[in-house]
Amino acid sequence: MDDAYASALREALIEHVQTAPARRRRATRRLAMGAATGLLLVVAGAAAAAAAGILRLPGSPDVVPLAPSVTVTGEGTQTVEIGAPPAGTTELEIRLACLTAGTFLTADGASLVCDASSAGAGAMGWHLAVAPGQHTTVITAGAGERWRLVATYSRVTDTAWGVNADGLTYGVANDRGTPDLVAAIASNGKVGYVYSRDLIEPAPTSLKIGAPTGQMRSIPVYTSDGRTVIGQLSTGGLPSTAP
Amino acid sequence: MENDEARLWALARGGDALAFAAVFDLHRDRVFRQAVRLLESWPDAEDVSASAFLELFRRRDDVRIVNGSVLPWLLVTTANLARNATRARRRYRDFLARLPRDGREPGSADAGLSVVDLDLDPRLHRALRQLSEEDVALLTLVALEDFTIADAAEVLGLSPAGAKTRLHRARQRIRKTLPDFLVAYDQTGAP
Repeated sequence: MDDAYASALREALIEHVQTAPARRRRATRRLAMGAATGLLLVVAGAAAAAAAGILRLPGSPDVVPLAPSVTVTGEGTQTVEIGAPPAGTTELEIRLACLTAGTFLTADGASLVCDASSAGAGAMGWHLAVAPGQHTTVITAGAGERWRLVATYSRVTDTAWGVNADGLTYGVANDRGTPDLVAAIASNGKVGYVYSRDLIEPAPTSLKIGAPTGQMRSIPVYTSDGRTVIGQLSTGGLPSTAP
Repeated sequence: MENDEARLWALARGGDALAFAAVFDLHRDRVFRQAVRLLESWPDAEDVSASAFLELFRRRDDVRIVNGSVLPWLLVTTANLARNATRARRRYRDFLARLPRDGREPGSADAGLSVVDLDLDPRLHRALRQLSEEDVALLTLVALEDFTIADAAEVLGLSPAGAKTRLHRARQRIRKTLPDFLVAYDQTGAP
């Protein structure tokens, strides 16, 4: 793919993930970095910043614990007994911490990697689907690799979108669809909303081969009233071609 | 490297957009190469590549990780999407409409090809089209992308022995249409 397309695609993917239903983002997540690169540290910081603003947006999931948490300390691969899920359970919320160096996997393959310097400090929040009749979960680790699991049966439901004075819905996209005003992070870092219609690229004005159709556009970011502009969002174009 | 990607993927899967972008940076060229290999149109290959990454995010809970990497899964998904580029484009129509189209075709001097060693033999398109979705994925992973049969089998959910048999048959079929192509790969020591 050519560089202009790749740059635009990269930007669009970032926006896509940022404005996706926050189903994954509700889990607090702090991975042990150990000898990780600077890039990863920046990434982790950005995740925290994004999560702080996104978590409480209308349309994001609401997590209600339905049973007391079960805490188990284990070593190596182990099946953990959690008990029968209470009625209404939709997910098993977990927090997995490493007590030694190692690679620790949850039942669905999410991984926590800790080296010697992060042993005892690394942890990740995650959630697992609960199958009917399920009362255990498996943590996979190498021999001698120790971990602590805190597991809580929970009910997760998508909250309702907000509706502003003009009757427009606002919040994050979720399984129900996309609201009129979609949560977005403006280039100045403020969290607000863009009109979902503004995200659609205008139709091309020329059919000439070589005529660019994906011009870089700047679209306004509003508060939930859909009228007060608090920033701009660059979209759809070639943001990275001018280094 | 594997550990780095596993960490990135864990973050990306949790909804971290910058980590997802880093995963995109790691694999975009090989995903695109896979798409170009299976589609004769350059814009189609771009759309299918974009769709593969959107599928990676949409199906993030089901992605099979092989040796700490999402790449084999991405390549299989790209092969499957390439089989039905129209369907892929329909699902992500709004997203794809926002990406630039500049009409450049493979081979043009400024098309950014330096990082991608493309297999653009038109006969290969035709030959691969004769195979099933799964066989295309298997053959491209093992013969063209240097994955082991065991890795390819794992991501496709096949037994290594079953994958080996299928691969053998697929290569026999390709060899009939394209006698010189796979011979060339055999001689360079590819499995």
